[in-house]
Amino acid sequence: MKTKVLLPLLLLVSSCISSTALAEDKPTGSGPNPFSDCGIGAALFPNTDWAAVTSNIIWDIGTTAVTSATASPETCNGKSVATAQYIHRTYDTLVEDVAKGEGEYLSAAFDLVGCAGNDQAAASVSLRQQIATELTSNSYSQKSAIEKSSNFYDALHASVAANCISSINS
Amino acid sequence: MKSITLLLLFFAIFHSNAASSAINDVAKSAIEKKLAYQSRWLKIGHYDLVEEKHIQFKSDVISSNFFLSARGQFDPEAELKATIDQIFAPIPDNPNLHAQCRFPARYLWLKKQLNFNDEPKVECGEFDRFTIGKTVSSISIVLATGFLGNPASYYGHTLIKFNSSLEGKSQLLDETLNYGAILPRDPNPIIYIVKGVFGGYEGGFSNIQFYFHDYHYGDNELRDIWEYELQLTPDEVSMITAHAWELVGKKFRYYFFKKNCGYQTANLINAVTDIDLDPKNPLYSIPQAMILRAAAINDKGKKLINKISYYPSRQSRLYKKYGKLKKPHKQLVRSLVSNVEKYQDTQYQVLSDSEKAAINEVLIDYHHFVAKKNQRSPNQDGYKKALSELFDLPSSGSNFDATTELIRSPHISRKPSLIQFNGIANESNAGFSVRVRPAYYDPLDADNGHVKHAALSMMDAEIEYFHGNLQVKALDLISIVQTNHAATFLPDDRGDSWRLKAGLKKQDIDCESCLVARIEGSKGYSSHVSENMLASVYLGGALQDQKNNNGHGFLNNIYNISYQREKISFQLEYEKRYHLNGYKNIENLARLESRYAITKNLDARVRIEHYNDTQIAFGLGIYF
Repeated sequence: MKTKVLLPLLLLVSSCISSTALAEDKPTGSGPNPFSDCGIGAALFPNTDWAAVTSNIIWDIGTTAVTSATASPETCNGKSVATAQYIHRTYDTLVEDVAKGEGEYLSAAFDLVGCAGNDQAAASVSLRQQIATELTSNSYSQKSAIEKSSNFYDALHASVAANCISSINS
Repeated sequence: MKSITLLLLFFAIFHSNAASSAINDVAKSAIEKKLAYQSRWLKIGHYDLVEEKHIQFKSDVISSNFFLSARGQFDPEAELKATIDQIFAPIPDNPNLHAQCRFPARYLWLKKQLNFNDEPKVECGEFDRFTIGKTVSSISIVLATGFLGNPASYYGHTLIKFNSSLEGKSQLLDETLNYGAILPRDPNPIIYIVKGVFGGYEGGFSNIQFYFHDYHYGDNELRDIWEYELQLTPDEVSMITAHAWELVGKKFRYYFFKKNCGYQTANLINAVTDIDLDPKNPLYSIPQAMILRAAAINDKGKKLINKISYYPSRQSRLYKKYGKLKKPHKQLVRSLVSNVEKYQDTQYQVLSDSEKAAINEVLIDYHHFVAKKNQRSPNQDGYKKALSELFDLPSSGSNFDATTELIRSPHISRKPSLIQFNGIANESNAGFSVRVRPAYYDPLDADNGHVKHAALSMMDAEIEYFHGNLQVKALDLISIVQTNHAATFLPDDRGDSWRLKAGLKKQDIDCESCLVARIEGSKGYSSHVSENMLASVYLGGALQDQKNNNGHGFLNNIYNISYQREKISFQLEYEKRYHLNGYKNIENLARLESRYAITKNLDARVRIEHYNDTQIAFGLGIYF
């Protein structure tokens, strides 16, 4: 039984049991996509009311919330969810870095998935091609924020799998 | 078999006795050394001396899970004994619950003081993750500049960043620790203010990776961020990191003026080191004041601030990049904002790749900035077109050169509070006045970290001795002038400005017993006349208490010119009031004030005011 837990905004995600199980139709080594494969779905990505998340205010400082009760223990771990959160929270700036071909946010995305610095340039080229194709598709404007983030997640992992020797699949 | 069992039982009892003996020895040594009442232990436990019946100490921490003893919040000795006991306790199934993992700073300090080594060796996985595998090598204080869009953010915000030395790792993924009030969603504004001021809310520490704050402040709230990396010893770095972990998820009573983010950040660092960043103002803590104090610390030639980094907001990046464009390219940006078809024009097509990249980066920043400023979605066509153009160009980042911005760092700003002594005179009389402004700035003295040509002050009071009378001339409980500078003049980069003031004010320059309570507000438009001069016009009004038949309020229009440079600034203002009732019908007011900064924390001002009479004042101001 899935237990839906609302993830507090400002918390690190604790680890679930990691696994090498792969979702179907995913590039080799890309691992599960937390947006669709972790049994958590949108619960991890509540609509962030940015206007409310102001400097001196925190909404909840409870303990870390994502446990094996909320995620399929065979498919997800804390790293993959942390990467997914990162993509979702910074999507616009991340895509802009991809468009430029470089940037701090793009570097951080590669760091999260374990792609070393000297492999990042090649991975960036591959990622750039994929995102450019996605951006020019007719359906892009109709996609939800989560769908866009999910596609970015897949594209990131595909680029890393093809170009990064030292990647650790999350 | 029986003898082996007996032997095992003997060793178990012996080991248990030995362990128990070790704990007793350690505890006895702690008592003999009076560690429970040493400054460091009291600070780690956030204990204050109190004058309450039967209680000598009380910890500021209100979370019960911060204490290992049931009496821990009020009894530092009981807490110390319980901590020693738990340090030596067996390792549970989840080792992260062991006292060594929950309270690493206490553990490190006690180990150093008491020199024990018989405790179990515990692997603290969660704490290791927080320290990114023990790679935290330095600590920074991060300051987000003030934000006039939310009262809780007026004075800026500080948090702590733990910098990992892991090679190649992005600093966006460094851990941070942030202190803030814990609020319900959509609080009632009046309750929000009252509770925030008088401790009606809990505050707490939370951790998240730095990217969250960089994106949130820079892109959502359009605030600049400054990072001040501290020069610390490895021990100091370890202890601050360990104590930060002890405080994650722990709660305090939140007080907006005093025990806020600046206070708690300084307190955390001082709990485990001798570095004291608290400016020790009994009434309030201002985040920038903490940074000024850090900048002033220079221990035998060793400065506390080691390195400064600047993270420009989306707005700052836009203005900087736009400012660097050549004039024809600025015009091209303007036409592309209005009509994406202009991308087909020859004027754009003949540009080099780098010129196209620069123009499209400006457009991307522009669409984002305008969307956030006006709280709506970005222009999808314009934004998407600019983005797709960038994808078509060779990879090239136009890096923002922050080095030239370091002269604007808040750490070299003047001090936040002002006391001013004025000689005042009109045609027939002379006197003097004293003004005290606890915080923060006005259009003449807005400095690094403040909004130029804007104003933010609370409890700004001026008392005068004039005509043989000592009386309050003005008391601004709050005074805000928010100006938007519209640096690009692009569509929607508007100079929307507003003002709000509430307090007491004399009805006329030269009257007695004429103090009225008044609240006034206005909305307007500002535009740069030159780089250092801003012109503004406002429409608004005020409500006031009826006194001396002066009426219940008025409508007004205000014309203002503000000029500000590093040393010299002036402001000229004309106001026309249309009284709703009372004996006055239309009233004309004028004010000219100029300022000269003698030193960073000393200035001289001349003020000429006219409302029903004319008065001139010469003043000397000291910032503290």
